[in-house]
Amino acid sequence: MLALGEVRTCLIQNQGALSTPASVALMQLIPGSPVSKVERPVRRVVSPEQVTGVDCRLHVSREGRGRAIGTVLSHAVVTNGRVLQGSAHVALLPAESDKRREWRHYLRRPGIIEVMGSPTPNNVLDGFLTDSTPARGLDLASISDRMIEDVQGSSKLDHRTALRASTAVVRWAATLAPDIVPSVGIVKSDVQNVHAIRLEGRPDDLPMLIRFCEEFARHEWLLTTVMDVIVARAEVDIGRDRDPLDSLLFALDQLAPLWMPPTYLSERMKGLWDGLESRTHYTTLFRQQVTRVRDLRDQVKIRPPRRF
Amino acid sequence: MTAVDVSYHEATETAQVEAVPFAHLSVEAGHLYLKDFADGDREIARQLEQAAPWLEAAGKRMRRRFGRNTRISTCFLVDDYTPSNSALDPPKPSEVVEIVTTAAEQAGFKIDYLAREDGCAVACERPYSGPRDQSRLADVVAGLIVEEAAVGANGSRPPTAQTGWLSNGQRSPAVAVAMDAPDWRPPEEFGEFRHSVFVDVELWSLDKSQADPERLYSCSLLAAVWQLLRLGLLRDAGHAVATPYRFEPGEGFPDLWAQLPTITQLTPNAAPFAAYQTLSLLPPHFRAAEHAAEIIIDHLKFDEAVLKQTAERALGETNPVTLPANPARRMSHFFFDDVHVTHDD
Repeated sequence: MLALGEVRTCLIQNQGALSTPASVALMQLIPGSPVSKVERPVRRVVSPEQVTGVDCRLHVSREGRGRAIGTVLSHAVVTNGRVLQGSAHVALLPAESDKRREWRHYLRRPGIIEVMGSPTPNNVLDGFLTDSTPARGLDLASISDRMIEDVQGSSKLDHRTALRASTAVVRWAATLAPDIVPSVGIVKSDVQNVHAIRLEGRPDDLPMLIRFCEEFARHEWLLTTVMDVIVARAEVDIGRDRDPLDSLLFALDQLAPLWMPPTYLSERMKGLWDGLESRTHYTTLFRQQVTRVRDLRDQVKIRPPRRF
Repeated sequence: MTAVDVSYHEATETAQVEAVPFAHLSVEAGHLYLKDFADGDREIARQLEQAAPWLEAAGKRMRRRFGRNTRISTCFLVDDYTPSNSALDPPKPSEVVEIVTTAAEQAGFKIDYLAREDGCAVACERPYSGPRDQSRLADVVAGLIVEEAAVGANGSRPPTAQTGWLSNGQRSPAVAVAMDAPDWRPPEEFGEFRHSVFVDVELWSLDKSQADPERLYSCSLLAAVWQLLRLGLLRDAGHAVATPYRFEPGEGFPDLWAQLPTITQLTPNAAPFAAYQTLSLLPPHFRAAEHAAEIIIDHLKFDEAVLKQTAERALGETNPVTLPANPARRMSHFFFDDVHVTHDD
């Protein structure tokens, strides 16, 4: 079995951080469907899964073709009332029939698309990970982007940005088999803020792998935002005698507490994340950046800039 | 050092789904507009008289299956949603309850529950209910609709369900001028049939004259809500909705229909309102709306937890009931004819 997904991460368009009830109200994207909420260690509020029907060609690398029919699931996540994510995912199974079935058949298996034709799994994964914009095959980019747009367009937000930061994209593809050793391969794309992840795991690992990619996406966005946006701009500002204090404090007060690797979730998640850390030293990097932010803050306090 | 097994969960992570009681069969014995009561009991007497033999037959079949403990409930739906053109004031709830009860007695059975259609759009749990004990059920059901994917749909476009229409297949491509359309293509119903029965259902309309118009839900969508309530499948954030309300002796009915609960229980000790199977005994003009309701139900993404809970409950009965995976297959209909016989006695 294969699984594909895309996660987009950005700052929520609201001046202040959202309270818990405000986050829950914002995530109520489907009336009457329950919103999931966890307070600790970070407040994570997740919208109900939205279901999108698809019937399209897959974008297959090298050779082979496939028609995919079924439904894609997508949800939005708000962390600490600050960071917004749109996450779309789908699992691929071979179709049992060579004709499209009645809709009820596909609706009974939300989040699964059936593939007619038998393209090689690797070609399907590569095809998905390398698909262009706009997508020629399954367009999870648009689906996850719509989740973000739907939320950011809400009248419950004041649409003011506390910090100008960009949206980060993580596109992932997983091979799922019963006796597979879990593995993660991350490639930072030459396009800014885009990462591709290739994963392997057991079929029942799928929810954990989806969560892993969302957690990776949030942490990667945090690191990039603090390092490339806040620290980089502050250094430029100080050089030009402008005051960067607001964004430095924003990093310390609002972004630093969001760093919470998901090792608390399960042993298997801890295994994946520890593996990631030993290769990337993300947590060490982030701590360094936070220290750098503190240094810059102190520097600004000791010798205030002349221009405001 | 011994490793300690610690677990930590928050109750709000996954919603609890409230259970509802189930009868074996829910029979809808009739469906009338408020204006139909203008003639007193004439219309309702005719409907209930036609329903009686089929109700009896259905009861017989259920009792053969489930014995003495068969649970059958009967209900009646009053349409107070469709605006009335009549200049007359609509009859009060207390008057209608009186007419319905008497007419049912004359037809030889009892009506256990009286429901109102406007209460399917916005469920009211009790008399004079305000926003706190209301659920916008039509919005909830509309939000569960997953439209059929058009051939070629890869997720790049938003679902067109926003348009207020739902179909069971691929629409015929839009053609501006039919005469200039040499490559007209027929619509196609998806499924394993040689020929299509293509249906396009209007779910709601908007009053374009208003700046911020509210959705006016169609009979088809409200019929779907009504069937889903009877199938015990609707929840609002996990909570049971439109629970039947029983007026205490001496507690008067409200004067306005909008102040009445969605479902009023008329008889004491009635079997539960929701049931594993539903039977609707209806006049023929409801056929199209009921078909549309079935198509809507066929396009809903149900809460898995609710489906599982219902299926397990049915299997746990003394005489286990196996429910089909498709909830629409738990509904049956009987449509009357319009043939009248005049007795000459």
